[in-house]
Parts: sequence; C-alpha cells; structure tokens
Amino acid sequence: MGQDLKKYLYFLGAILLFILFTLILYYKFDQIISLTKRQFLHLKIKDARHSAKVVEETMAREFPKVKEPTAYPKEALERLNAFLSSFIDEEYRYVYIIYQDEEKFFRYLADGSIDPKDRGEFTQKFFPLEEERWRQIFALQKPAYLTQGQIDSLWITYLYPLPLFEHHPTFLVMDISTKAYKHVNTILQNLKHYLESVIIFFGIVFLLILGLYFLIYKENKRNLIDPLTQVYNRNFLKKIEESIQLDQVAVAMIDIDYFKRVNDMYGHHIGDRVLQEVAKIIQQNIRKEDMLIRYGGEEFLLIARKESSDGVRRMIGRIHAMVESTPIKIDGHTINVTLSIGLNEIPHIDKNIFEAIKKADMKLYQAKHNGRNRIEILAPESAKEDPLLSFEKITELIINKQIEIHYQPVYNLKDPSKLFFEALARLKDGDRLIYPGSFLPIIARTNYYIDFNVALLEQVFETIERERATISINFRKSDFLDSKLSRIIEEIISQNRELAQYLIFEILEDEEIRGSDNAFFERIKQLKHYGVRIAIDDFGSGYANLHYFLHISPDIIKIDGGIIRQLKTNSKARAIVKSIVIFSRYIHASTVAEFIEDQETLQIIRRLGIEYAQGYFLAKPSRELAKTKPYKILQSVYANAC
Amino acid sequence: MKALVLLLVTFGLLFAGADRIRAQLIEYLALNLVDGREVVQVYITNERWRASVRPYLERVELVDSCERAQLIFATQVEEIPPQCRQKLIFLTSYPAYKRAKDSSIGALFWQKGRPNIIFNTRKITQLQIDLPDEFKKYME
Repeated sequence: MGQDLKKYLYFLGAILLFILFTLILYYKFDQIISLTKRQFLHLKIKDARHSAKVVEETMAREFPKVKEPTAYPKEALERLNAFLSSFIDEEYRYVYIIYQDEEKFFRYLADGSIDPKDRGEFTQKFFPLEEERWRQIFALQKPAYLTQGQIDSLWITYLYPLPLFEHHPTFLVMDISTKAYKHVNTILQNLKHYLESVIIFFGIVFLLILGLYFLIYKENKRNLIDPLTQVYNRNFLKKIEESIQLDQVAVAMIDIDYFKRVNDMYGHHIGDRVLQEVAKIIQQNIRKEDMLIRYGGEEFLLIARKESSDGVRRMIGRIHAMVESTPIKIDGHTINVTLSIGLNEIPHIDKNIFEAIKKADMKLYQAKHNGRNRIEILAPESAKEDPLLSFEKITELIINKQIEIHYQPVYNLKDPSKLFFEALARLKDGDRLIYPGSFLPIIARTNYYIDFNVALLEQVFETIERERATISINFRKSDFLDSKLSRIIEEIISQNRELAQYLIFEILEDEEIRGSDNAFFERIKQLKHYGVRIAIDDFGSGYANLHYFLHISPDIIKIDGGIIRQLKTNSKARAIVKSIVIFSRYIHASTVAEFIEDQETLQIIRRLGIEYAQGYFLAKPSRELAKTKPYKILQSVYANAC
Repeated sequence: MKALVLLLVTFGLLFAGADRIRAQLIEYLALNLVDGREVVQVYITNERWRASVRPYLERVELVDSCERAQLIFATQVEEIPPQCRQKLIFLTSYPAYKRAKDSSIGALFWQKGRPNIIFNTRKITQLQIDLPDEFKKYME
C-alpha cells in the first residue's frame, strides 16, 4: 500500500476517534443534563426557601396572630394576599398559604395569585394532586418539594411550614414555573443538538473521505495490478523500488516455457487462462510478504523475502515442481506447462533492484539456453566462481571497445570457395572472454546495447574490407524496430555500400514475427536494397514462422541445430529437414545446417541436399578468418558431390 | 352549603393533556349524574371547550341545543337560555359558581393548572341525585 493511502488511513482513524469521543459525550450527555438539572433544582429550592423565610419573618412581624384560621381578620387577609402577590413573577407562578382543617381537608388561607381565575378564596378547599404526599408533609411539618410533571407549565411545588396556628398545620406553597427550567433545558438540549450536528458533520466527512479513500485505492489498484492475472504489474515495481532492501530479498525471473505454442495451438483466450492459472499456482506457493509481478507477456518477477539460506530456493523449487505437475484444465483441454526460472540469491551486491533483476534475467536466459524447464541460480558460491558482471563493468568494456569477434566458418558442401563466416562477439575483460548471454540482458534497452552493436558492425566491416570475406552477424527483430539502432545500422551500411554484398544479417528466432510488423519488413527490404543478405537463424525453433516468406525473401535459412542433432536417430527430423530443403529451393534460399558435430551428420545433411554446414566438427570459431579449410573432412563430401 | 369540591383525578388522567382530562371529567360526571343512559347528551356553551373535548368523548354526545341536553356546562348561568335553566347545570368558573349557587349543581374549573370539581350539596339533595361515594368528599 502506498504512503499516500496510509496517510488517508491515519486521517480516517483520527476522524473516527473524534467521532467516537463525541458519540460517548453525546450518550453521556443525558447524564450531564440530568446532573445539571439536579444542580439547578437545588439552586431553585434554596432560593425558594430564602423567599419562604422572608414570608415567615414578615408574617411574624407584621400580621396578627390568631388561634384559628377562620378568625383571621379580613383586612389582614387582603394585606396578606397583596404581600404574597409581591412574590409572583415569571418563575414563582403561584404563592399561597394552605392550612389543614379539623377534618384534615386542605383549605386556602391566602392566595397571591394575580389572575382571579387562579385565586383560591379564603377557606376554599384545595385538593393537591399528590394528596397523600401532602398529608405526610403536613404531618412532618418540614420543608419539602414536589416535582410537578403532571401540571402544565409548573416545575416544582415548594412547601414551607408556617407556625401560624397551634392546631392547624399551615404551609406556604410556592409553585415554580418551568420557565427557568425550560431555559436551562433549552440550552442543554441545544448543546446536545450541537453535538448531534458535530457527529453528523464529521460522520459525513468521514464517509466522504472513506469514499475518496476507496476511489484512490481502486485507482491505485488499477494502476498497480495486472488485470489479467491479478498480480502486481511493473508500475508496482517502480513504486517500491526504493523501499526494497536488497540484503533481505531474493529475485527470481520466471518464464513459462513455449508459451507461444499454447497461444498458437489453443488461441489467446486459452493462453490468458493458462497465464492466470500459473499466476495462481505461484501465488499459492509464495508467502504474504513476497511480491509477484507480471514482468512481461509470460514472464513473472518474484521478489521474495529471504528468511533462511535456502528458504527461497525451496520455495522456487516448489513453484517449479507444482507448475510442472499440475495439468491446467481449460474448456476440455488439458495443458501441461513448465517454467524456466532464473534466481538471483545475492541481490545485495547489486546497486539497485533493476540490476538484480537483470542478473536474474541472465540466469533465466541460461535456463532457457540449457534446455528450459529448469532453475538456474546465482548463488553466493557460484558468484565467486563465475561472478556476473556489473552494469558498470560491461559499459566500461563497451566504451573501451573491448569487443572481440570470433569467426566461425560456414562451408559450402559443393563449392569450397563459397564459404562465409558467422561473427560471434565476446567482451574481453583482460584474459577473460564474456559471452553475449552474460552481458546482453544487462544492457538490453540501453544506449550501450546500441553502442555494442555499432562497434560490432564497424569491426565486421573492417574485416570485410581487409579480407573481402562474406560475414554474417546476428540481430534480433527488435533491433530493427529500434529506430535509433536501425538508423545507425543503415548509416554504416550506406557508408560501406560497396562492401554490403559481403554482409549477412542473421535474424534470430527468439522474437515473434507478425504479419503486421510492417516497419520491420520495410527495414529489411531497405537493407536488401543495399545488397545485404538476410538469413533466418534457428529455423524450426522458437518463433520461426512463415510470415517472413510472405513479406521478405530470405537468402539463407539456417535450420535449427536441435533438429540437426537428431538427424542420425530420428527419421522425422530427416523428413523435416528434407521438406525445408525443398521449400528453400522453391524460394531460392540456401540452407545451412548448424551444429555439425560428426562425420555421420555431415554425410546425412549432404544427402538431404543442404548446401552449407557449420559446426565444431568442421571448425571452431576463431579470431582470424580460417585460412585453411578442413579439406580432409570435406574431401569425402566434395568427392560425393562430384 | 355551598359545596366546594376539588376533584383530584389521579388515575391515568393526570398523564394526559388538559383537553383529554377535561373531556374525561365531563364524561365521568355525565355518566354518574345522569342515570341509565348509554350515551348522555351534553350542551357546552363555551366554544373552545366544545371543540377541544369533542375528539376525546366516547359516551357523551355534544348537542347544539340545550333543550336536547341532559347536562349543561356553562361559563355563567346567563349564557343558558331560560327554558334550560332547570336542567342539571355545571359552571366552568369558580366566581360564576359563587354568583349562582342556586342555579347549578356544581362547578368544573381549572385553578393553578389543576382541575377542580365542586358539588353543591343543597342542590344535589334537592334534586335527589345519588352521588357515588368517591364524589362525596367534594361536596359542601
């Protein structure tokens, strides 16, 4: 997960905490309201008691003392009503004096109520709502209060005993309105509503940010996840490259063997399903902290955390074995695939992850070269014996033109004078020769790759000019699709126009040629225009197909060495080679058999009508063009030819 | 005489609104003062009272003419047409009741936010109305 997304999560967490805190406060708020109301009630009771004492003291001082309530003078009652009225305000709604008669009925002595409808008359019976409670209070003769939930607009009724009559308990009664209570209650409720608003507001903010987070998460996922296999794509590698600790990981390049055949045989739909299944198997066999990236078409990159010296190696072995032993069943087809894997166990010696990947890629290249369905490991011990070159070392050798070309002769089996040489480039590091498989993957897609090819071509032209010999050089399809490299190649050929007829480009069969590769075909035609000849290398293997022959006319077809090696034992191989020879004659192309390693194979290819032969049995590659020809070996061939 | 009775209504009525309490008190009084009727016809002079209690009455029919009523609630006796002044009359204010003690059998009014009922003992006796026991303490 990206740092940006983590920040969002922290932010979301903070908001959530705030909401939780506010929610707790909200749910505790009823308690706060209750507590506040209780405090307010006590304040009001205290205030009422103070007023009641004023009434008590004033009555003792200014009003007559009589034995019976009914004996209270009329003039004094009017004064008393007026006096009680002076206490009436918005809070004290009713202030009146109630006594108990002989029959324990409650009756008015005086009433300060201003509204005549509410004013109780002298001796008028009064029936309180909680009559029994009133009787208890009158019996106790102590101040008390009642909460008036039942009477509209009244909050509390406060009763205060007045010692007016010996045999008739008398109380000052004060009905306190809900006005002040409502005011406080309104403030508290408003505060509660404010809290509700805060919760809702931050809830909405939280949801919006959550939504935003998911949008960003989805967008991130879409950018970082390969939609077909649901594993990471190369963007993910760019995102994490700086955070990878090379001393804690191993890097493996995993490639599905002969995947093209699956696509060709079953179609891309099935091919895609195979990719999905293989990705699934790999994922099932890696750990949570390992990262699987779809690196190319059928190529996966695994960055695995190293926990023990051979933990990753065991895991890679398990992946390799599981894929090999798991038939993939799709739409009624059962497809068996294998993996070639290059494992770099020592990426910590590399400067960055990409250099480590290149080394894993080189090991993958070795695995493929050594027959596929295998694991090649760059281990600490093998690195000591055969250290892989660093990018800097290779580029240094290329800049210093430490390129050594070895030439292997390709003999014409009918005419000894018609031979040509295949140029095989090596980098020279002191006494040590470095083969293309060890350095080309490292400099692939860099300017040094172009520099290397330019230097190679220039050296070959120097040899051609000096020796007037025909020389072939290996190129890949993608080299001609690289506009910069192909432009430089054409410039060099143009500068050596009179020597171009001695040059043969061997197009390697490791990249698929499609009918739609117009740019490639156009460039090949342009080169042929200069007189350069075109050979198809390893015909019968890899991506060899017949599209070539629809768009360009190759001059030479080099039959795959794997087929040639089987000529002695496999009649089908012989039939295939015979067919290629016949086909080549139809398109006026010469045929070359590589990997001639013994006399018997030489005789067979001669009998099959192949024109050229190449192999260690005839001549090994050497720095100089072979001046002496293997006449003894070829003698019988030539003799038969004659 | 001059019964002044305050009726404290404690059962449930207290928890309802004032209009509902008023309606239930009217219905309670009507059914106990007028014998043997499933539905009692009541005439109320005060329009606000009439409108506010109507939704809550079940066994009381509010009538537009005092002549059809068995029980009348009036703010003051003068509001009642003369031909109906001999019927059972309840006044709805204490001062009005005091002014016309001989004309009404009692009063139902609100004082200090509390409902009050008064039964006029002399009139009740005169009309030979048999009050339920729970009403007797409100007679005077």
